[in-house]
Amino acid sequence: MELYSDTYYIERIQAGDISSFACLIDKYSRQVHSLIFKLTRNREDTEELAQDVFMKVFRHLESFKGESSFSTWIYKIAYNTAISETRRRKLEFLAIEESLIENVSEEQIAHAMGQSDESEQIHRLEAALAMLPPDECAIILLFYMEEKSIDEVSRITGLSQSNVKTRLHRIRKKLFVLLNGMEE
Amino acid sequence: MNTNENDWLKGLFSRLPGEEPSASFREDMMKRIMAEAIRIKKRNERLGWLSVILASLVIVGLAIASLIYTGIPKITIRIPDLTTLSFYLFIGSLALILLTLDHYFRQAYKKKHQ
Repeated sequence: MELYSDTYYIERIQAGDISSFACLIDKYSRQVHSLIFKLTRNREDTEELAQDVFMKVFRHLESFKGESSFSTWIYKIAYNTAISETRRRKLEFLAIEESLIENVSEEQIAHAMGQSDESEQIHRLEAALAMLPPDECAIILLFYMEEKSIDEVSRITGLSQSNVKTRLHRIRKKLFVLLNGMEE
Repeated sequence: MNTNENDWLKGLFSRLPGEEPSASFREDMMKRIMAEAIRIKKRNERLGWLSVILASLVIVGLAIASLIYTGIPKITIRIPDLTTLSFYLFIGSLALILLTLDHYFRQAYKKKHQ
C-alpha cells in the first residue's frame, strides 16, 4: 500500500527536501532496471544507465508539469536513455520474412507453448525478446510486462496510438514466429 | 488491444523475472543526487550574484550615460553670504531666549493658580 503519491514526494523535493527522492528511487528503480536491462542486455550498462535516468529525473523535476503521470514520465526517460544506448552500440537484430509473420498461427503456438514447463516457457520468451529490435522489445514489454495502456505506451515511445496498436500487433506475430522457431 | 485480458502472452510476461538493482544502488544514487543538489544550489547562487552585478553595472552605466549625453544640469552648491550670519544668529538666539522665558512664566502661572 502506498503511503503517499508521487506528487507528494515531488512537491517535497521541489520544496528542498532532497531526501524524499529516495522514496522515488525505491518505487521505480526495479522497473527502470528491468526495462533498461531487457533493452540493452548488459548488466553493467544497466546500472550506469539507470543512474543516468534518475539523475535526469532529478535535474528536470522542475520541468515536470504533471501532464502525464510521473510513472509515464520516468518510463519515457528510461526508454529514451536505453534506446540511445542501443543505437550508440549499433547492435544488429534478426530480420524476419514478411510471409512468415503473416502466416503464423497464434493458437498453434499457444498450444505448443502450453506443452512445455513454465521455466522453459520463460526461457524461450526471454530468448525471443532478445532477438527483437530494442524499440519493438520496449513496446511489447511496456504493454504486457509493465501493463501500460496504449495511451501510456504512446506517450512513452512518442508514437501515435494507432501506430502503437499496429506495431504491437506486428511484434506479437514476430514473437510468435520466434517462439515457433524455438519449438521446432 | 487496449485490454489484454485472456491473452496467454500476458500470463507469460507476468511471470518474467524483473531485474533487481544492486544492493548499494539506492545509497550510491542518493550520494550522487545530494552532490548534484549542492552543485545546482551553488550554480544558482553564482547566477544570482552574476545577475545582481550585471544589473548594477547596467544601472551605473545608464546613470553615467545620462549625465554625459542627456544634458542633466550640473550640480552646484551655492555658499550664502556670511556677512549677515551674525545678524541671523542674534535674532535666532533672541527668539530662543523669549521662548524659554515664555515656557517658565507659563509654568509659574499654572503652579500659582492650581
